[in-house]
Amino acid sequence: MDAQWLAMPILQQLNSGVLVLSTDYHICFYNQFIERRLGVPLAEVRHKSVFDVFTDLPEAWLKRKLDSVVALNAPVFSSWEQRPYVLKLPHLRPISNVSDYMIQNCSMLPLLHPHTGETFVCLLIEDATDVSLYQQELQRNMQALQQANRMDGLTQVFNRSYWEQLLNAEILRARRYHQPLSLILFDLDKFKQLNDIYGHQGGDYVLVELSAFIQSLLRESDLLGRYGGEEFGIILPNTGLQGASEVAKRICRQVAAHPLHYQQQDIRATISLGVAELNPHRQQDVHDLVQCADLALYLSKREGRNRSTSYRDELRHYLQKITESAH
Amino acid sequence: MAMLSADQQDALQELMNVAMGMASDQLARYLNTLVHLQVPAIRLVQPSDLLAQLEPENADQQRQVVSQGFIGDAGFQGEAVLFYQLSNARQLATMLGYPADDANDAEMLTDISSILTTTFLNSLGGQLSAQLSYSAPRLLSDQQELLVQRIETPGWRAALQVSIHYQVIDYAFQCEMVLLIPELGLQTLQQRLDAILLEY
Repeated sequence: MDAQWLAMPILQQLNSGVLVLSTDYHICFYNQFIERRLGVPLAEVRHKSVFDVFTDLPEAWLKRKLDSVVALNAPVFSSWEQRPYVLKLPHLRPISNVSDYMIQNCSMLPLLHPHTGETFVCLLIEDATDVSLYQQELQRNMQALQQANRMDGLTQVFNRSYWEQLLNAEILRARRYHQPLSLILFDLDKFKQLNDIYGHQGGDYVLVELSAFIQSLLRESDLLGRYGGEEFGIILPNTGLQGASEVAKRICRQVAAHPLHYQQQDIRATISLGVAELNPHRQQDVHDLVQCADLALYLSKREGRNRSTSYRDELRHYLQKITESAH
Repeated sequence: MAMLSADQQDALQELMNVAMGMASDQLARYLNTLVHLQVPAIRLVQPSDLLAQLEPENADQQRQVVSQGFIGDAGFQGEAVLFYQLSNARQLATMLGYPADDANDAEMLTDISSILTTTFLNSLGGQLSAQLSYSAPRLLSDQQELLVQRIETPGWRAALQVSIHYQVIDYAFQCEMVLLIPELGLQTLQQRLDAILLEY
């Protein structure tokens, strides 16, 4: 069989765009794939500059590519990941697709005329719209997964493991840039009692509402996490003990003044807080800093709850004394 | 492991030299400046050698890895992997007319890699009377682990490593090109080399 006749029908029915340009960027040919999507018959634009027909083309960019194809007699490529499309064309699924234009991979290939030896450049356009959509979806899912991995399922604040990672990173940062860093630990007062009165759903409700309320009181840079059960932590970057102590007192006051409505009842919940600042002269790690804040929190509880205590080294001696006298 | 005989190795080295000469001539015309390419050193490497290469010597220097597939007639095929430093690539990009503030490093890197790979391989293909087609180049830098995994799988047994040193007037552009050629491609290459050797 003489296969010569095959070339044109296949070229026309190819499910890829074929656009042939002269070395001075004039249109010599495009196949049906492009003709139908562009809606302009080839006869109308043949010998016109490609930049006059596809007015959105990035001229400097494309010229650089085409020139290199001609000069080096070697192909050049453009991936959708770097440039979503070369030719602004519609895609064939305007309803089920979210992108406005056909996302494309483009190969630019050198062509030599067999008789005249003249060089042309063939732009081979492949539709990558579906691939790009899958990619986007994958990225969205990865992000959602990552988010889920960092959040506490109930309260939607950071979970303990991620919050500890953040604290670790903030400690390193504070040390590197010689900035202050403080930590607040707080505990919902008499949580067991709340659970007994309102049931576990009532208790959960209080945890969720209080987390959201306290989150709303914080600056964007403050990092709230659920440390476990009814215990939470707030990382306050670039904040000294005094500033953090003021924040803690304010939160304590506002929580106490903020009734929670649960099944036609008002629940009045209070919290106890402990505040500690990273000591720049000691090599404190996450564990040390949490321990200091925890000690201050313990004293807040001991002194009658619904209050905030700031950690000072003297507290350790005080604590020692009261535990000794208890024995 | 398929090995090249001493004669085959010599013939291949000779073809590489010619191809390199042609590629540097083309690049020089294109860049409008003198381009010197050193005679490439070639050696056959095994997967383990390549793994050692993939270990970044200096974590501060961003090493870029770009891969581009090629295929010719009679099973002559493989993958060209280019290793180079980002700072090196930026200088070359300026010469190629990329705007200095162009944030799209990925495109610049794949373009440069494609130019270096295809000019060289086109010339080499010409020597072996094989016309080559290429896949689009892909940046592998952010997939280092994946690459290592792939290399450890027994998909190939030997690769041709071609070290190329480009010198463009007053600065040196160093890059390492590794041609990963699977068993079948290597056999084809050997046949071609034998045919060329017969002619002499």
